[in-house]
Amino acid sequence: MRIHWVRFLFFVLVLTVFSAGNLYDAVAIGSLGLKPDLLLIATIFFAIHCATPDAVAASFVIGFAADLCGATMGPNMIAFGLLGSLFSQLQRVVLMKRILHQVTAIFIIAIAAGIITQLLCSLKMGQAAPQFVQTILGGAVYSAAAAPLIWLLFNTLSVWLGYYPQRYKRSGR
Amino acid sequence: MAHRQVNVSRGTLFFTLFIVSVVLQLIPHKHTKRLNVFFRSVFDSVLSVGLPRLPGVFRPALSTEEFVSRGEHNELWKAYNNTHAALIEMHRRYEALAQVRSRLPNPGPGLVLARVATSAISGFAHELNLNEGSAGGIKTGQLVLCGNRSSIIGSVSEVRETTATVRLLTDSRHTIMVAVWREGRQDYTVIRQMVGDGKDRCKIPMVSRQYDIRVGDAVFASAEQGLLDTPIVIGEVSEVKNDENKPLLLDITVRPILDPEEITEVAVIVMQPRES
Repeated sequence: MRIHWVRFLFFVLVLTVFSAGNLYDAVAIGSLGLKPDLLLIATIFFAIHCATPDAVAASFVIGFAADLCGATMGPNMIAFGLLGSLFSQLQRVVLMKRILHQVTAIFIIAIAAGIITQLLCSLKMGQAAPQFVQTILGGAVYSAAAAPLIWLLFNTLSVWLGYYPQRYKRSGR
Repeated sequence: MAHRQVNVSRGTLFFTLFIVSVVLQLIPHKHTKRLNVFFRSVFDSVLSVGLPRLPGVFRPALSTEEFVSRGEHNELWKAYNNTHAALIEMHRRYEALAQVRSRLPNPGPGLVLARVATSAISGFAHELNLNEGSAGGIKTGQLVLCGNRSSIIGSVSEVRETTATVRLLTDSRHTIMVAVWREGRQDYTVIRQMVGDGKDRCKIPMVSRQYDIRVGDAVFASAEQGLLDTPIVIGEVSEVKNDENKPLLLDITVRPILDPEEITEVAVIVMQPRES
């Protein structure tokens, strides 16, 4: 079943506003203010559960949303789009059935996305972010740790958004 | 109703979206930031729900010394240094008045109070978004005081009709003319430009080793025509060492007295034109 796009866009908008708002700062930890990256977790969630064309579009849309509430336009869209598309291809080979697999996938992709985003931001804005190693690593660990809970929330919204979660079977396409 | 399905191959879809994202990446930040500003303007009321930078869980605990007396110490320290700065300025004015007939008294700066709607503290930006804009008399470049008006925290970098963005002193794109002063001296040691380091400190580059600057010296925002008529304290020198790349220069680090997490209200200095 294909994603219900209007509902999906509304869902991403709500997620973006929540991520950028003051309320979400309540879960920030440490002096760096690390928070789980809701939009990155959503990207991986949709990359795993949707058909490849939908996953590609969803990844770029969520990346665009991450740029809107971020420092500048472009880096997150490229990073999320590339990694989401790549991951949607991998879902044919790797099944993300266990929580440990999901957590590991989010940790690795959060690091990859963080590196790409920081590099592209540096290129565009002409300055390097301080303490970016700690920020990327800390953010990846926190995102991976929080992912199972957030995953549950996304699962409850899955039917409303137009797809069925837990389709853990290899596609022959 | 017939539902028309548009069939696009996943390769075409991927490359189309990828090209769009690359174009966004290549467009200069000064153009694309309008999208970020638009997003924040539209959802300002929702984004500002809750205090900016609420105390997070697991944040490192403050030491007993800081928890009990640091804030009060900072306020006294700022008031003390501001008084000295005012004294120096008054002395200068007195000397000028003694020689020539002065102009009419300066009407003094006006202050526009604004609430901090959201804060954007990241590796690339240290900014606050205010709920006042050009309609309230705020203009780009104006200096901004912390809520109790005792120290400069940054300057206005962007202004819309009803909102404005303040770039904090620690933002690596922020520059400001500063003067360094030590207790007991009649005048400033040196006046130079200061830049943020993108973390929680600032740097004063291009200062020769011949100047006697020490840790603990007070740093003031320098008086500037149209922006500030009396120096106001910014922070203190926290580290002085020889520049590793330029042995004839000093590497001066300044600790500004500002905590973005504590700032919920600011005052923008709106200078009133002098009457001739």
